[in-house]
Amino acid sequence: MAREVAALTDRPLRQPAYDVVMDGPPLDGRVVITTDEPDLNPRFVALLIEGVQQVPSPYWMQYRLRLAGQRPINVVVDISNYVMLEVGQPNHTFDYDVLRRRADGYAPDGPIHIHTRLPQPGETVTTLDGATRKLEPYTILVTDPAGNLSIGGIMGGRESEIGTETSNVLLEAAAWNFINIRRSANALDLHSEAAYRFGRGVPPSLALLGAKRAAELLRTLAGGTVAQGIVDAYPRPTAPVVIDLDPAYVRKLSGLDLSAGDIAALLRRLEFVVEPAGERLHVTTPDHRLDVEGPHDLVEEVCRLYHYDRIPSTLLADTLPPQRRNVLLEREERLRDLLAQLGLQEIWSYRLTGAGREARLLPGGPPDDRPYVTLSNPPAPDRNVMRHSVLSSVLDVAAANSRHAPRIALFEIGPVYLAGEDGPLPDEQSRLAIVLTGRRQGEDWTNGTPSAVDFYDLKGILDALFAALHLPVGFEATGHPSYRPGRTARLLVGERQIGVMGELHPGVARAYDLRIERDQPVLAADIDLEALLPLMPDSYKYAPLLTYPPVREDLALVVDAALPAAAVESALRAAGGALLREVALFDVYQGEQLPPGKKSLAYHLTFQAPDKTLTDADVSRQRGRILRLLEQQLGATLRG
Amino acid sequence: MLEELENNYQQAAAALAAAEGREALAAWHRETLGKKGAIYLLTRNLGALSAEERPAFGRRLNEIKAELESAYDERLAQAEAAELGAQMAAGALDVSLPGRRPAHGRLHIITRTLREIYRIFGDMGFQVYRSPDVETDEMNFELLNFPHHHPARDMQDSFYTTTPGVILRTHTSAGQIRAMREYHPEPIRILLPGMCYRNEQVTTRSEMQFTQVELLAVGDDISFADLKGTLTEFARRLFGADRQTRFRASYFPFTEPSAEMDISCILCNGAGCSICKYSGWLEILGCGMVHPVVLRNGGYDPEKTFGFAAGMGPERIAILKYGIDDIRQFWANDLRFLEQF
Ligand SMILES: [Zn+2]
Repeated sequence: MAREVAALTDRPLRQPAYDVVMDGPPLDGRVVITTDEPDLNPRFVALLIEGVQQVPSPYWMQYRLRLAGQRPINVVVDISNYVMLEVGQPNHTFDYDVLRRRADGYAPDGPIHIHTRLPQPGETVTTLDGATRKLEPYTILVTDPAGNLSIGGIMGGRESEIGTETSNVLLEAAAWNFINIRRSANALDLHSEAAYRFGRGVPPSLALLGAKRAAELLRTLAGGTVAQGIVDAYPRPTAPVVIDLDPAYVRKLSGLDLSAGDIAALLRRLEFVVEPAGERLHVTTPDHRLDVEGPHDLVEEVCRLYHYDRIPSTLLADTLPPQRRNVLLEREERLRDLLAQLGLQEIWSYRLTGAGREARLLPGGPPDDRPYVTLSNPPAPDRNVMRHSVLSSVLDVAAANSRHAPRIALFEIGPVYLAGEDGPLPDEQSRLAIVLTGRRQGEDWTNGTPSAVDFYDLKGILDALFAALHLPVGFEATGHPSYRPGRTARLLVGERQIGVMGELHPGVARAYDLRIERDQPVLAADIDLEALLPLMPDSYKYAPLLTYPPVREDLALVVDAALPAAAVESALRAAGGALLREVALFDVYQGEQLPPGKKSLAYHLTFQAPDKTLTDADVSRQRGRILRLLEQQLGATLRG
Repeated sequence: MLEELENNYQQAAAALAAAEGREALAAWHRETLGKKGAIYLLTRNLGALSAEERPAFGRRLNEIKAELESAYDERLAQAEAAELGAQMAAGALDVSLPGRRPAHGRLHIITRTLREIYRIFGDMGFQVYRSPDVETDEMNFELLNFPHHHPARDMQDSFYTTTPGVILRTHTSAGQIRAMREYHPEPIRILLPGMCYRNEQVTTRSEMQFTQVELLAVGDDISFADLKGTLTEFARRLFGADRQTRFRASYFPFTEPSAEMDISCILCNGAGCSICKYSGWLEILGCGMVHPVVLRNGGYDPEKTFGFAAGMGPERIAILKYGIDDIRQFWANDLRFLEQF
């Protein structure tokens, strides 16, 4: 932090003193260090401070520790914490006498032997907090031949902890692989300040500086003497990173018009060593900068020091890429617009759900046995899978709104997640779900209580939608466990089923806890946009307006009650030929005026020719032909 | 004779002036100018006049008839206007009564916000590219320069699936590599919109699912200055032409240099208020130059190719624009919320 401030303000950096006065007996031969895993533990530095007095740490140090949120404990712990804050190097203090006593067991005449290594299978460690912990195979232990001392870079051990009796301190400062520290700390669920700092990367160069700074403070503030010599296990010192920097690259990436000299001057403020090499610059990174790896990192430093706000703002002048339509998105957006125009409110709902939540759609039916994308860490037990149904999400929203809204007309367009045929990822398929229930209109002072919506409201919305899309869609009676028998249709484009619509099964409405009035239907549609979107025509032909006068005729036909009206209409259109321009059903009757099992369908027919005024004879010929053909094909008779 | 004519004329004119209403006027017309009317009856006596008197009498009679007819038409028009006026006065409405509102639908506020973003960047040549919600760890992290156990992963608490290596994407940056691998070596200008997921406590300020739009430009000649200009243009079109922008250094593994863009507070214009926590600035998006590792993973040569990326949250934009106080409203879909937009 202090470094950053110095660089940004272009002032010299104030650094702590790293010199240490070694006024004690030599350390040589008293401590040796072995590091087994230089990749995971690149450096391990130790110094010995003897004769430390148990005095309180000075007031200024306690004050600064408190400012940083640390509680002063005793002079040794306080110095250790203070150096971590000041230098950025976590460090550890061992009771030297404890280590020596242990060494008496394994090497009565030899040195203390600190050994950092991976654990043996099943090895455990007892940490400062008193817990015995099982170790992952990648977690580095600090040990001596008598056993474990600490978990490297994460937490100290119990026995060698500094106590009130401690007067001789073995001070340790080491470097650790930051990723290994992170995964070890996570596996052990030990989130110490040291692990946090090592987990973000502390350069090996700081280990020596931190150890020396702490030793000097122990000497000056706690009355210790520092043994002569430093044990520094650093088998593969990090080579300084030298980056070959092309000033043209800096200019291109930053958009700044800087000379090689400008760039060098900026980098030098951050302690980079910059040497011109022809057109280019050789930049040596300071050893405390682990994050600088390549030219782009240097551009970031340059931009930051130049100050982002001083960099100009320009619009893209680069070649415009080939422009590509996103047809499926365009069509989805067209559907959204049309559905909103038809009076439906769009929603976006949660895509995480539970199998049990979706099972409400299938009362008594066979359960949905398609595998779900399942979370291993769900936010709630009933939000543990990615949905199979958009309709289920919309019904939940409809239910929540049914507590206060008299009219509910909702739609959602969004993905469902079906286990993939190939590869680990699911097939994300787009669906449209519509839910309609409640009053047909808002209640106002002019109309009292409007009537409730029914099957034909939803049917009308879909009719209007498909008409606007210029896509002929057929409705055919079908059965589906989610819907009320006899009030369910499948939607067909040619032979292809694109969805199902109808009145929801009363059991489903109950299961979703829709607060609706008794017998008030809930209408729903579930449409597969993977099927529909590719069928949506991009263009269609305009039909010229005819100028010759139309002739209107009414025709009431009696047919079997079971015959679908659509069959009658298509027979009418086929029989009427080109002159029959419009067929509009205006009445459906079934009752005592007709024989049982029959119904009457009454149509307004509009005849019109593009090239002449139709005569009565023309129209009556058409009418006769229609009646004859419909009688032959459907057994239809004219209603008397 | 002529005298009688003049008398009758005077009487008829007086009667016309006295007649009120269409019915009285019609009666006057019948009685005065009709077949048995007073004026007409005089013509029967024409025979009693001498040949010399006849033309003068006839002329005068026609004059009188014409004057009375015209006076009648005028009176009738007045009467009709008065009648219509009275009718309309009787039909006055309370214009303050509420009207009959047709039920109409609306698009969700997020659809509308996304479209606004698409439109603005569309004008600058950016097109929408969609990628899946359920992603591989490789696309979401690894290839974006987030190695395993990288500290930056901690900021994005992922939802993991029971399939190893498959997660719910934590950002739409996950689609960057897909797009680059599809389009390289051509230049790219795309928007990556979509739903993202993070395992966070749901509160008024954070959600476990949220939408994001990632912006990605890749080409031979794209600089940090272009990034600043493009995003400033966007901010001004979205939040008003007088918006100021500010770029602060930041860190993302997949961009370098990285920045956060702030806009001058849309409420107080930089003076300081509770929305901007008295800083005068609002954080709006994170951005940066595409990291060479990411360019290489996408199939581009990072020494010759440059790119920028930015990520923004449509909810955050809507929250600022409309002063929404609870992020959970977006997916709760309460009609009382949705119908406000
Ligand atoms: Zn403000």
